[in-house]
Amino acid sequence: MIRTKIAKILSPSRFVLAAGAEQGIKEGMEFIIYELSDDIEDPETKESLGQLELHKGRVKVIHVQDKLATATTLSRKFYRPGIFESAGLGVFSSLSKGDWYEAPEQLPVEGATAVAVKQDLKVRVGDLARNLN
Amino acid sequence: MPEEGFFGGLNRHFLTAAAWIFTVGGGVAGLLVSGAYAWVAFLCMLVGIGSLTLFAYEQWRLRKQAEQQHASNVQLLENNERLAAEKAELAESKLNAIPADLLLQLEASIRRWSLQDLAAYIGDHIDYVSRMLNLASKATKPIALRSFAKRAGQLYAEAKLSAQAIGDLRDDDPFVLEFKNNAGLVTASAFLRVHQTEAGKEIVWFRVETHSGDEMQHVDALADMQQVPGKGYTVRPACDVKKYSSPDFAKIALMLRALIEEVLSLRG
Repeated sequence: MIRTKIAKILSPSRFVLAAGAEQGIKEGMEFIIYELSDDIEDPETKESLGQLELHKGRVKVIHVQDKLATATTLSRKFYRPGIFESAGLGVFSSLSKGDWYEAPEQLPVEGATAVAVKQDLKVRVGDLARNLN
Repeated sequence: MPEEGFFGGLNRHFLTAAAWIFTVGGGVAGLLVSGAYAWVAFLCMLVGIGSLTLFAYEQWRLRKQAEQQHASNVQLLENNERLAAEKAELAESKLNAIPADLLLQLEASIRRWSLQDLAAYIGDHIDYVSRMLNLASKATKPIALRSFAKRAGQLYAEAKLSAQAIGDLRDDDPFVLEFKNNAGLVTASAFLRVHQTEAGKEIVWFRVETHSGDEMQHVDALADMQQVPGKGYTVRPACDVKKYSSPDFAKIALMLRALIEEVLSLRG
Protein backbone atom coordinates (compact mmCIF):
# COMPACT_ATOMS: atom_id res chain seq x y z
CA MET A 1 0.00 0.00 0.00
CA ILE A 2 1.33 3.45 -0.94
CA ARG A 3 0.92 6.11 1.74
CA THR A 4 1.71 9.72 0.97
CA LYS A 5 0.53 13.28 1.68
CA ILE A 6 -1.23 16.14 -0.08
CA ALA A 7 1.56 18.46 -1.23
CA LYS A 8 -0.61 21.16 -2.81
CA ILE A 9 -4.26 21.93 -3.47
CA LEU A 10 -4.69 23.21 -7.02
CA SER A 11 -8.50 23.46 -6.84
CA PRO A 12 -11.34 21.71 -4.96
CA SER A 13 -11.07 18.95 -7.56
CA ARG A 14 -7.29 18.81 -8.29
CA PHE A 15 -4.54 17.89 -5.87
CA VAL A 16 -0.81 17.23 -5.95
CA LEU A 17 0.42 14.12 -4.12
CA ALA A 18 3.87 14.07 -2.55
CA ALA A 19 4.82 10.82 -4.24
CA GLY A 20 5.42 9.85 -7.84
CA ALA A 21 6.74 7.14 -10.10
CA GLU A 22 9.67 6.51 -7.77
CA GLN A 23 7.22 5.48 -5.05
CA GLY A 24 5.29 3.23 -7.44
CA ILE A 25 2.41 5.56 -8.34
CA LYS A 26 0.84 4.89 -11.73
CA GLU A 27 -1.72 6.78 -13.77
CA GLY A 28 -5.29 5.69 -12.96
CA MET A 29 -4.53 4.68 -9.35
CA GLU A 30 -7.18 5.75 -6.86
CA PHE A 31 -6.26 7.38 -3.55
CA ILE A 32 -8.23 8.13 -0.40
CA ILE A 33 -7.48 11.47 1.28
CA TYR A 34 -7.83 11.24 5.05
CA GLU A 35 -6.69 12.46 8.40
CA LEU A 36 -6.15 10.33 11.47
CA SER A 37 -8.42 10.51 14.49
CA ASP A 38 -7.29 10.45 18.11
CA ASP A 39 -6.14 7.11 19.51
CA ILE A 40 -9.08 4.76 20.07
CA GLU A 41 -9.13 2.21 22.87
CA ASP A 42 -11.18 -0.93 23.29
CA PRO A 43 -13.91 0.04 25.81
CA GLU A 44 -13.56 -3.25 27.71
CA THR A 45 -9.89 -4.26 27.55
CA LYS A 46 -8.51 -0.69 27.15
CA GLU A 47 -6.23 -2.08 24.44
CA SER A 48 -5.23 0.53 21.86
CA LEU A 49 -7.02 -0.03 18.57
CA GLY A 50 -4.99 2.62 16.76
CA GLN A 51 -6.18 5.68 14.90
CA LEU A 52 -9.20 5.73 12.64
CA GLU A 53 -8.90 7.13 9.13
CA LEU A 54 -11.40 9.97 8.66
CA HIS A 55 -11.95 9.99 4.91
CA LYS A 56 -12.29 13.33 3.14
CA GLY A 57 -12.57 12.24 -0.46
CA ARG A 58 -11.21 10.12 -3.26
CA VAL A 59 -8.96 11.09 -6.14
CA LYS A 60 -7.63 9.43 -9.27
CA VAL A 61 -4.08 9.97 -10.53
CA ILE A 62 -4.06 11.66 -13.94
CA HIS A 63 -0.38 12.60 -14.26
CA VAL A 64 2.75 11.08 -12.72
CA GLN A 65 6.17 12.65 -12.34
CA ASP A 66 9.24 11.21 -10.62
CA LYS A 67 8.53 12.57 -7.14
CA LEU A 68 4.95 13.84 -7.38
CA ALA A 69 1.64 13.09 -9.00
CA THR A 70 -1.43 15.12 -9.93
CA ALA A 71 -4.80 13.65 -9.03
CA THR A 72 -8.33 14.73 -9.66
CA THR A 73 -11.54 13.87 -7.87
CA LEU A 74 -13.68 11.13 -9.35
CA SER A 75 -16.21 12.26 -11.90
CA ARG A 76 -19.86 12.16 -11.05
CA LYS A 77 -22.76 12.09 -13.44
CA PHE A 78 -25.13 15.04 -13.24
CA TYR A 79 -28.40 15.60 -15.07
CA ARG A 80 -28.86 18.96 -16.76
CA PRO A 81 -32.60 19.47 -17.42
CA GLY A 82 -33.82 21.04 -20.68
CA ILE A 83 -35.12 24.63 -20.81
CA PHE A 84 -38.79 23.67 -20.61
CA GLU A 85 -38.11 21.00 -17.96
CA SER A 86 -36.36 23.46 -15.65
CA ALA A 87 -39.16 25.97 -16.22
CA GLY A 88 -41.64 23.33 -15.05
CA LEU A 89 -43.45 23.20 -18.38
CA GLY A 90 -43.78 19.42 -18.50
CA VAL A 91 -46.05 19.46 -21.55
CA PHE A 92 -43.22 20.87 -23.71
CA SER A 93 -40.43 18.83 -22.05
CA SER A 94 -40.04 16.55 -25.06
CA LEU A 95 -39.06 19.58 -27.16
CA SER A 96 -35.93 20.24 -25.09
CA LYS A 97 -34.61 17.08 -23.46
CA GLY A 98 -32.01 17.38 -20.74
CA ASP A 99 -28.69 15.57 -20.92
CA TRP A 100 -26.27 13.80 -18.60
CA TYR A 101 -22.78 15.14 -18.17
CA GLU A 102 -19.76 14.22 -16.08
CA ALA A 103 -17.93 16.65 -13.84
CA PRO A 104 -15.31 16.16 -11.15
CA GLU A 105 -16.64 16.18 -7.60
CA GLN A 106 -15.74 19.30 -5.60
CA LEU A 107 -14.18 18.56 -2.23
CA PRO A 108 -14.38 20.99 0.67
CA VAL A 109 -10.87 22.44 0.89
CA GLU A 110 -9.24 24.70 3.42
CA GLY A 111 -9.82 28.34 2.52
CA ALA A 112 -13.06 27.67 0.67
CA THR A 113 -16.31 28.76 2.25
CA ALA A 114 -18.84 27.41 -0.21
CA VAL A 115 -19.02 23.75 0.78
CA ALA A 116 -18.99 21.89 4.06
CA VAL A 117 -20.12 18.31 3.75
CA LYS A 118 -19.00 16.95 7.09
CA GLN A 119 -17.88 18.74 10.18
CA ASP A 120 -14.33 20.02 9.71
CA LEU A 121 -13.30 17.42 7.16
CA LYS A 122 -11.76 19.89 4.77
CA VAL A 123 -8.80 18.81 2.66
CA ARG A 124 -5.59 20.52 3.79
CA VAL A 125 -2.00 20.49 2.60
CA GLY A 126 -0.27 17.79 4.63
CA ASP A 127 -3.32 15.52 4.76
CA LEU A 128 -2.55 11.86 4.29
CA ALA A 129 -3.37 9.85 1.19
CA ARG A 130 -3.27 6.13 0.52
CA ASN A 131 -4.20 4.06 -2.47
CA LEU A 132 -7.32 1.91 -2.45
CA ASN A 133 -6.70 -1.74 -1.68
CA MET B 1 -72.11 45.10 12.34
CA PRO B 2 -73.11 43.90 15.87
CA GLU B 3 -76.85 43.66 16.52
CA GLU B 4 -78.21 46.49 18.74
CA GLY B 5 -80.60 45.55 21.55
CA PHE B 6 -83.81 47.39 22.53
CA PHE B 7 -82.28 49.27 25.44
CA GLY B 8 -79.17 50.06 23.44
CA GLY B 9 -81.32 51.64 20.74
CA LEU B 10 -83.45 53.45 23.32
CA ASN B 11 -80.37 54.88 24.98
CA ARG B 12 -78.90 56.00 21.63
CA HIS B 13 -82.14 57.70 20.52
CA PHE B 14 -83.20 58.93 23.95
CA LEU B 15 -81.69 62.42 23.78
CA THR B 16 -82.97 63.09 20.22
CA ALA B 17 -86.43 61.66 21.04
CA ALA B 18 -86.61 63.58 24.33
CA ALA B 19 -85.72 66.85 22.57
CA TRP B 20 -88.42 66.21 19.99
CA ILE B 21 -91.07 65.30 22.58
CA PHE B 22 -90.35 68.29 24.81
CA THR B 23 -90.18 70.73 21.86
CA VAL B 24 -93.43 69.49 20.28
CA GLY B 25 -95.08 68.97 23.69
CA GLY B 26 -94.03 72.49 24.76
CA GLY B 27 -95.36 73.94 21.49
CA VAL B 28 -98.71 72.11 21.85
CA ALA B 29 -99.01 73.19 25.52
CA GLY B 30 -98.24 76.82 24.55
CA LEU B 31 -100.85 76.79 21.78
CA LEU B 32 -103.44 75.22 24.11
CA VAL B 33 -102.76 77.88 26.76
CA SER B 34 -103.03 80.69 24.22
CA GLY B 35 -106.30 79.12 22.86
CA ALA B 36 -105.00 78.63 19.29
CA TYR B 37 -106.52 75.15 18.94
CA ALA B 38 -106.40 75.07 15.13
CA TRP B 39 -102.61 75.44 15.22
CA VAL B 40 -102.32 72.41 17.49
CA ALA B 41 -103.71 70.15 14.76
CA PHE B 42 -101.49 71.83 12.20
CA LEU B 43 -98.37 71.39 14.36
CA CYS B 44 -99.18 67.72 14.98
CA MET B 45 -99.69 67.12 11.24
CA LEU B 46 -96.44 68.95 10.38
CA VAL B 47 -94.44 66.99 12.96
CA GLY B 48 -96.01 63.69 11.77
CA ILE B 49 -95.19 64.38 8.11
CA GLY B 50 -91.64 65.46 9.06
CA SER B 51 -91.06 62.35 11.16
CA LEU B 52 -92.41 60.02 8.43
CA THR B 53 -90.20 61.69 5.83
CA LEU B 54 -87.10 61.33 7.99
CA PHE B 55 -87.98 57.69 8.75
CA ALA B 56 -88.48 56.93 5.05
CA TYR B 57 -85.13 58.59 4.22
CA GLU B 58 -83.34 56.57 6.91
CA GLN B 59 -84.85 53.33 5.59
CA TRP B 60 -83.83 54.20 2.01
CA ARG B 61 -80.28 55.01 3.16
CA LEU B 62 -79.97 51.73 5.07
CA ARG B 63 -81.23 49.77 2.07
CA LYS B 64 -78.76 51.51 -0.23
CA GLN B 65 -75.94 50.73 2.22
CA ALA B 66 -76.98 47.07 2.42
CA GLU B 67 -77.09 46.84 -1.38
CA GLN B 68 -73.58 48.26 -1.67
CA GLN B 69 -72.29 45.84 0.98
CA HIS B 70 -73.94 42.93 -0.81
CA ALA B 71 -72.42 43.93 -4.17
CA SER B 72 -68.98 44.20 -2.56
CA ASN B 73 -69.36 40.75 -0.92
CA VAL B 74 -70.47 39.20 -4.20
CA GLN B 75 -67.42 40.66 -5.97
CA LEU B 76 -65.08 39.36 -3.24
CA LEU B 77 -66.55 35.87 -3.48
CA GLU B 78 -66.27 35.92 -7.27
CA ASN B 79 -62.59 36.90 -7.02
CA ASN B 80 -61.90 34.11 -4.51
CA GLU B 81 -63.67 31.60 -6.72
CA ARG B 82 -61.62 32.69 -9.74
CA LEU B 83 -58.34 32.43 -7.77
CA ALA B 84 -59.24 28.96 -6.47
CA ALA B 85 -60.07 27.81 -10.01
CA GLU B 86 -56.73 29.13 -11.29
CA LYS B 87 -54.83 27.36 -8.48
CA ALA B 88 -56.63 24.09 -9.19
CA GLU B 89 -55.80 24.39 -12.89
CA LEU B 90 -52.10 25.06 -12.13
CA ALA B 91 -51.90 22.12 -9.69
CA GLU B 92 -53.52 19.83 -12.26
CA SER B 93 -51.09 20.87 -14.99
CA LYS B 94 -48.13 20.31 -12.62
CA LEU B 95 -49.41 16.87 -11.70
CA ASN B 96 -49.64 15.99 -15.38
CA ALA B 97 -46.14 17.32 -16.00
CA ILE B 98 -44.37 15.35 -13.20
CA PRO B 99 -44.68 11.84 -14.70
CA ALA B 100 -43.54 13.17 -18.09
CA ASP B 101 -40.39 14.68 -16.52
CA LEU B 102 -39.65 11.54 -14.54
CA LEU B 103 -40.07 9.34 -17.58
CA LEU B 104 -37.72 11.52 -19.61
CA GLN B 105 -35.08 11.46 -16.89
CA LEU B 106 -35.41 7.70 -16.47
CA GLU B 107 -35.18 7.19 -20.22
CA ALA B 108 -31.99 9.26 -20.41
CA SER B 109 -30.52 7.48 -17.40
CA ILE B 110 -31.26 3.96 -18.60
CA ARG B 111 -30.07 4.61 -22.13
CA ARG B 112 -26.73 5.98 -20.93
CA TRP B 113 -25.85 3.63 -18.11
CA SER B 114 -27.57 0.35 -18.60
CA LEU B 115 -25.15 -2.04 -20.30
CA GLN B 116 -21.71 -0.77 -19.25
CA ASP B 117 -22.69 -0.17 -15.67
CA LEU B 118 -24.45 -3.49 -15.34
CA ALA B 119 -21.37 -5.25 -16.74
CA ALA B 120 -19.12 -3.37 -14.32
CA TYR B 121 -21.39 -4.19 -11.36
CA ILE B 122 -21.52 -7.89 -12.25
CA GLY B 123 -17.73 -7.99 -12.75
CA ASP B 124 -17.11 -6.34 -9.37
CA HIS B 125 -19.61 -8.62 -7.67
CA ILE B 126 -17.98 -11.75 -9.09
CA ASP B 127 -14.67 -10.53 -7.66
CA TYR B 128 -16.35 -9.75 -4.32
CA VAL B 129 -18.04 -13.16 -4.07
CA SER B 130 -14.73 -14.92 -4.87
CA ARG B 131 -13.01 -13.03 -2.05
CA MET B 132 -15.86 -13.68 0.37
CA LEU B 133 -15.60 -17.41 -0.39
CA ASN B 134 -11.90 -17.24 0.48
CA LEU B 135 -12.73 -15.27 3.62
CA ALA B 136 -15.31 -17.87 4.67
CA SER B 137 -12.73 -20.64 4.28
CA LYS B 138 -10.26 -18.73 6.51
CA ALA B 139 -12.63 -17.29 9.12
CA THR B 140 -14.75 -20.28 10.05
CA LYS B 141 -16.43 -18.51 13.00
CA PRO B 142 -18.69 -15.46 12.50
CA ILE B 143 -16.74 -12.20 12.67
CA ALA B 144 -17.42 -10.85 16.19
CA LEU B 145 -17.64 -7.11 16.65
CA ARG B 146 -15.63 -5.57 19.48
CA SER B 147 -16.72 -1.96 19.63
CA PHE B 148 -18.46 1.01 18.04
CA ALA B 149 -16.84 4.45 17.77
CA LYS B 150 -18.07 7.70 16.31
CA ARG B 151 -15.81 10.30 14.73
CA ALA B 152 -16.75 13.42 12.71
CA GLY B 153 -20.42 12.42 12.80
CA GLN B 154 -19.82 8.97 11.29
CA LEU B 155 -20.39 5.71 13.17
CA TYR B 156 -17.73 3.00 12.81
CA ALA B 157 -17.64 -0.61 13.98
CA GLU B 158 -14.43 -2.44 14.80
CA ALA B 159 -13.78 -6.18 14.60
CA LYS B 160 -10.82 -8.48 15.05
CA LEU B 161 -9.86 -10.63 12.08
CA SER B 162 -6.76 -12.65 11.23
CA ALA B 163 -4.20 -10.97 8.97
CA GLN B 164 -4.69 -13.78 6.46
CA ALA B 165 -8.46 -13.12 6.27
CA ILE B 166 -7.93 -9.36 6.07
CA GLY B 167 -6.03 -9.98 2.84
CA ASP B 168 -9.35 -10.86 1.20
CA LEU B 169 -10.97 -7.55 2.09
CA ARG B 170 -11.03 -4.45 -0.09
CA ASP B 171 -12.15 -0.90 0.66
CA ASP B 172 -15.95 -0.54 0.46
CA ASP B 173 -16.73 -4.27 0.51
CA PRO B 174 -20.36 -4.55 1.74
CA PHE B 175 -21.18 -6.41 4.96
CA VAL B 176 -24.24 -6.90 7.16
CA LEU B 177 -24.18 -6.31 10.91
CA GLU B 178 -26.33 -8.79 12.86
CA PHE B 179 -27.46 -8.78 16.47
CA LYS B 180 -28.25 -11.87 18.51
CA ASN B 181 -30.49 -11.21 21.49
CA ASN B 182 -30.72 -13.24 24.72
CA ALA B 183 -33.42 -15.46 23.23
CA GLY B 184 -31.08 -16.35 20.36
CA LEU B 185 -33.00 -14.38 17.75
CA VAL B 186 -30.69 -12.95 15.07
CA THR B 187 -31.72 -9.73 13.30
CA ALA B 188 -29.97 -7.48 10.77
CA SER B 189 -28.92 -4.25 12.46
CA ALA B 190 -27.03 -2.27 9.85
CA PHE B 191 -25.39 -2.23 6.45
CA LEU B 192 -21.62 -1.80 6.64
CA ARG B 193 -18.73 -1.15 4.28
CA VAL B 194 -15.05 -1.92 4.88
CA HIS B 195 -13.44 1.37 5.87
CA GLN B 196 -9.92 0.56 7.04
CA THR B 197 -7.88 -2.59 7.55
CA GLU B 198 -4.82 -3.02 9.74
CA ALA B 199 -3.37 -6.44 9.08
CA GLY B 200 -0.52 -5.87 11.59
CA LYS B 201 -2.98 -5.32 14.46
CA GLU B 202 -5.55 -7.75 12.99
CA ILE B 203 -8.20 -5.01 13.06
CA VAL B 204 -10.94 -4.17 10.57
CA TRP B 205 -12.93 -0.94 10.75
CA PHE B 206 -16.34 -0.91 9.12
CA ARG B 207 -18.28 2.22 8.24
CA VAL B 208 -21.95 2.03 9.27
CA GLU B 209 -23.85 3.10 6.16
CA THR B 210 -27.51 2.50 7.05
CA HIS B 211 -29.33 1.31 10.14
CA SER B 212 -31.90 -1.46 9.90
CA GLY B 213 -32.35 -2.36 13.57
CA ASP B 214 -34.14 -0.18 16.13
CA GLU B 215 -31.36 -0.58 18.70
CA MET B 216 -28.85 1.01 16.31
CA GLN B 217 -30.34 4.48 16.92
CA HIS B 218 -29.49 3.98 20.58
CA VAL B 219 -25.96 2.75 19.79
CA ASP B 220 -25.43 5.70 17.43
CA ALA B 221 -26.57 8.20 20.09
CA LEU B 222 -24.49 6.53 22.80
CA ALA B 223 -21.38 6.50 20.58
CA ASP B 224 -21.59 10.30 20.49
CA MET B 225 -20.47 10.31 24.11
CA GLN B 226 -18.32 7.21 24.49
CA GLN B 227 -17.09 4.08 22.79
CA VAL B 228 -19.72 1.33 22.87
CA PRO B 229 -18.90 -2.38 23.33
CA GLY B 230 -20.06 -4.51 20.40
CA LYS B 231 -21.11 -7.53 22.44
CA GLY B 232 -23.78 -9.63 20.72
CA TYR B 233 -23.00 -8.22 17.26
CA THR B 234 -21.49 -10.21 14.42
CA VAL B 235 -20.60 -9.27 10.87
CA ARG B 236 -21.23 -11.34 7.75
CA PRO B 237 -20.69 -10.69 4.03
CA ALA B 238 -23.60 -9.07 2.22
CA CYS B 239 -23.75 -12.04 -0.19
CA ASP B 240 -24.89 -15.54 0.71
CA VAL B 241 -21.63 -17.45 0.26
CA LYS B 242 -23.43 -20.80 0.58
CA LYS B 243 -25.10 -20.18 -2.76
CA TYR B 244 -21.72 -20.00 -4.45
CA SER B 245 -19.90 -22.71 -2.52
CA SER B 246 -18.90 -24.70 -5.57
CA PRO B 247 -15.32 -25.94 -5.93
CA ASP B 248 -15.44 -24.69 -9.52
CA PHE B 249 -16.46 -21.12 -8.68
CA ALA B 250 -13.07 -19.71 -9.70
CA LYS B 251 -13.47 -21.25 -13.15
CA ILE B 252 -17.10 -20.07 -13.39
CA ALA B 253 -16.02 -16.55 -12.40
CA LEU B 254 -13.42 -16.50 -15.18
CA MET B 255 -16.04 -17.71 -17.65
CA LEU B 256 -18.50 -15.05 -16.54
CA ARG B 257 -15.90 -12.30 -16.90
CA ALA B 258 -15.06 -13.51 -20.43
CA LEU B 259 -18.78 -13.60 -21.21
CA ILE B 260 -19.27 -10.00 -20.01
CA GLU B 261 -16.30 -8.73 -22.00
CA GLU B 262 -17.62 -10.48 -25.10
CA VAL B 263 -21.11 -9.02 -24.69
CA LEU B 264 -19.65 -5.53 -24.20
CA SER B 265 -17.46 -5.78 -27.29
CA LEU B 266 -20.37 -7.06 -29.38
CA ARG B 267 -22.96 -4.58 -28.14
CA GLY B 268 -20.59 -1.61 -27.99
